[in-house]
Amino acid sequence: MTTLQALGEALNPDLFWEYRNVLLSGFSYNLLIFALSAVGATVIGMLIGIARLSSNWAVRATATSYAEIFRNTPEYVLLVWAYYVLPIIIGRITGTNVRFDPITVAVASLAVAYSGYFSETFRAGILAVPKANIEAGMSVGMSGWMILRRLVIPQAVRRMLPESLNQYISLFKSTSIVSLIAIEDLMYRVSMITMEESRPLPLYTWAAIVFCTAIVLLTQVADRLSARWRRAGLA
Amino acid sequence: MDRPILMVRNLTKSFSNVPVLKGISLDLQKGAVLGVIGGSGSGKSTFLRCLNYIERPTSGEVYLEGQPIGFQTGPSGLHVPDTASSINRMRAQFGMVFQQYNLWPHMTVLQNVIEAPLHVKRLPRKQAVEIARAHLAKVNMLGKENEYPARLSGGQQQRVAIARALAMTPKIMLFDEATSALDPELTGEVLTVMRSLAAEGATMIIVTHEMAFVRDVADRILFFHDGRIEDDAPAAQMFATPNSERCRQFLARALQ
Repeated sequence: MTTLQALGEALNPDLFWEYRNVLLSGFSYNLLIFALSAVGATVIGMLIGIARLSSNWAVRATATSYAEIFRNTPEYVLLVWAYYVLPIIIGRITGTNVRFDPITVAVASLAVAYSGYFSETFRAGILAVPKANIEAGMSVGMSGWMILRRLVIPQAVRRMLPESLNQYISLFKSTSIVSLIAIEDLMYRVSMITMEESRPLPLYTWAAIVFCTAIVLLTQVADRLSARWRRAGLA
Repeated sequence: MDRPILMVRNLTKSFSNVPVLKGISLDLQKGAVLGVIGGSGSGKSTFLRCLNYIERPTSGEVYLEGQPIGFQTGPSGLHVPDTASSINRMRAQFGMVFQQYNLWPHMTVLQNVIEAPLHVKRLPRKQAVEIARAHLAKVNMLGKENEYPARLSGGQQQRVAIARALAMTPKIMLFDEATSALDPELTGEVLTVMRSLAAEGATMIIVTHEMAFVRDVADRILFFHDGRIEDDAPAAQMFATPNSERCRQFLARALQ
């Protein structure tokens, strides 16, 4: 096979097209796992980010350890550990046979792994809100909780947006590892069909193109949706 | 004479053991306009910020209409710290205007002004908007309700900040160098608003470097030096015959 032939084979859409239903329904798992774990990562990240700024030493230390542990553990390892090792540990302790639902494990692992990043982004976003802004809230009688909810978080989120977008993109890409725990996502099905057809070049190439296109499209949508809102009053 | 609207007793404040306020006592009558002048670092801003408990005083007492701020007297006569919610409630009775305006940048002009009436006082939206419009009209900012602060000049932002404070119908207005961050051509519009508030009988404490203005508008002036009230006199008298030599020198320099 010459270089040109190899390139032609890689970009040939026929095989991918033939299996499009199987492959794209696999891709819907990637979308589903992404959507759920993105929500989870955001919510957990926000709580941990706020906890890291707590005036209580113990709360701060716990939240910081959480963020450090999960930010520094590869999601690959986390996923496999949560699916294969954790049930064994729990089983030994409780003396029962434990099995986890793979999609639940994938969503939870990715949410936890990325919540570490989000907590850092949130922390920085909150710290960037000027103290004077908070004092203005105090001066009209707002409670600490109200100041957080009405003044600090809305401003922090606007500041966080560009960086979070990158993290959502990484998270989306990370969903390509869930085939490790036998979820029949796009990559899982690509490797199944490859075994059948022995033509890995076009399948893997088009899988890459699908991921890339989906991310570009989603990024565009997110940009459009947030443009007006982001502009709103960031000095 | 009626009971003073504001009583301050021996107020002190230290920042990591550096004393900034060294015992301030004061009675202020309702409707009075009090000017506070002095060099930078004399403690005048800290004094203002201790009144509404944005800064927690190290010791001393502040009473608004006889109600203590930040503490309650326990059964044994000792002071116990007040609850956060009660401190928030007391704080809302002061309106504060800051040097840097401190409008919330993610909210429009109208949203800035209705925020506290809506969420702190829990007024119905319609009523909060009505109140906001009335105050925006007063500071001549009606018609800019849907702008974001970043699109306004400093003078306009400061006038919105005044409307925001007034919307809570505070008992006392505190002005913390409200015109210091403004270009000279913009101070006039803010001072005009402050002047009309004074004319309406609002109780005001004005920390300022605008000597001509404070001489004009204040009934009484405090001269702060090194965390203490060094001179306390009716405005005209303060400028004509200051009691303290330091105050005389300060005024001579400031009025040059």
